[in-house]
Amino acid sequence: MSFFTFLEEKTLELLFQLFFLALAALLLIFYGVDFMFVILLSILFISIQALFQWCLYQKKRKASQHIIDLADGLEESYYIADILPKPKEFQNQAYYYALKKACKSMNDEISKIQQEKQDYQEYVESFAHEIKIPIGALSLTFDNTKNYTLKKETDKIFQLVEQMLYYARSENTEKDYFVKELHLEEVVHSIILKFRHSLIESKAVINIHDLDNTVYTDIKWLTFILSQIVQNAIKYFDKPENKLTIYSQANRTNILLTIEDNGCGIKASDLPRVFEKGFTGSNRNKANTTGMGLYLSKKLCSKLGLKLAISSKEHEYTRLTITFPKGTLHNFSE
Amino acid sequence: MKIAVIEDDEVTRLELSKLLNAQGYQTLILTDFENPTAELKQHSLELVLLDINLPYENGYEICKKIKQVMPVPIIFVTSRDTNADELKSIQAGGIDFITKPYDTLILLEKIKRALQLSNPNNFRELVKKDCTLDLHLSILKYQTKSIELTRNEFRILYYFFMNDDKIISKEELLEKLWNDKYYLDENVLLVNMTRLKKKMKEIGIIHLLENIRGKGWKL
Repeated sequence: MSFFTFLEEKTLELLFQLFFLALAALLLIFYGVDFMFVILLSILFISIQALFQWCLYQKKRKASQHIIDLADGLEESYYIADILPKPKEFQNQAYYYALKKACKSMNDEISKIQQEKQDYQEYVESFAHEIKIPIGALSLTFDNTKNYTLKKETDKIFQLVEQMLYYARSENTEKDYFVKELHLEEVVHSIILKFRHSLIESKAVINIHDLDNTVYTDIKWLTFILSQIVQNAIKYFDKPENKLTIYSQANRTNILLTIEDNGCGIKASDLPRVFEKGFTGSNRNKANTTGMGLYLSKKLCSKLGLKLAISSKEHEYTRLTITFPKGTLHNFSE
Repeated sequence: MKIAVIEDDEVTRLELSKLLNAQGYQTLILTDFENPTAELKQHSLELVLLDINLPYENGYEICKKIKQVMPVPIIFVTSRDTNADELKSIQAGGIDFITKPYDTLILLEKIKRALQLSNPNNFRELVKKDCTLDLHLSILKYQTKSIELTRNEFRILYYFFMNDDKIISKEELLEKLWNDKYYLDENVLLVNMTRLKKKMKEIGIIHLLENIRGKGWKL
């Protein structure tokens, strides 16, 4: 706020004062006071008034700036009403009251939504656990009767439930997050076993090599991410000879895990969008896509501090690379 | 070998016991969960499969109680999958933890590990139908002759030697190989089988592997 806008607000008051000054000057002249004296008096009055207004302006500006600084310095700005200095002025008190009320109702609303969200998440978690009981029973039954068609459908239901569960959890990973030393070969082995029925059925040639590397991350989240990637690979196999290649490389600072398939690949124009939520591709007319797999993988990777990158050539290959940072802390003793 | 199944979902426990029976284990199925230790005490058990969500008491409590009366290994089988659950089950004294839906291959592997059965180093050689499979040198001996086996051929024969009265299908064989990190595809398996049979024929073994049309092979 500049000094002039400050004065503008006080136009009426100032005009009133000027009018009185003029009136007083006229009266003084009328009673024969010296003309020069009246002029000097008027100038003195005006300059004192100006100085006074200037000081007032400075003070107000300082107070306003203080409020602005407070608001800017606050991370959750909806708490501003709690830390503002209480105003003394009549109208400002009304503003202050209105602001307090607005903040309070918003805080109430936020905590209500947070509560609802937590309830919902808890429900999703318990739902997922409950539904795993009948899924587990079905899966066992089909294993025992060697009904692999239905077993595969059951597996699909389970994968979808798991995706939903991880989506619900992805907001607060810290609740269930446990970094351990993991041997890549073991993790990949468990994934291959998990999808062995689909892989054997699609007659995939599996080429796994150079996995003798250790990474530090959460095994459950990593397993989920790898499951999404391998599931995609299986889904988009389209050649007479399907190939799945998994290997790792280590450089000075990172360990790179690469999962490559020779499936239908991704169009160059679609490639930048595959990590978007709900993106299912412009020409992939597959019925069972949710567009959540890669989105969730990317999200979880960034929560785990890993990098997920994709490259692909349509009709030729899709290659996903997970970059694990090489920890240096644990090497101190070496 | 008797394994107790403590699981409140009826279908799951029946199918679990079917699976275990098919693998040659005896099962004890509990249906009363109010005082499971009393019933368990009456049997000599090798292993307990224990669910966590049970009526009356949760699995952790039951696990602690079983531990007090008998020194049997306990594997938790559950639909809960958080790290906290895993931690609690270990704290309660469980030796392993597997989540629903179970992968039967992994479940059976964990059971074997718990029963300490899966250690192939217990044997040096296996003898079936006058043929000797040397487990250290991967050599197959018959009468005075012997042949060296490749890694894959050795693995394939090993499963037949370990399951000598069962018909093993192509799928089962692949699954078992994959379980030991030999990710062969069907073609490679068939090539290996053919080569193996040819090799065995060279030293006069024609009776070892029987081809059962449409089903697989049998030792």
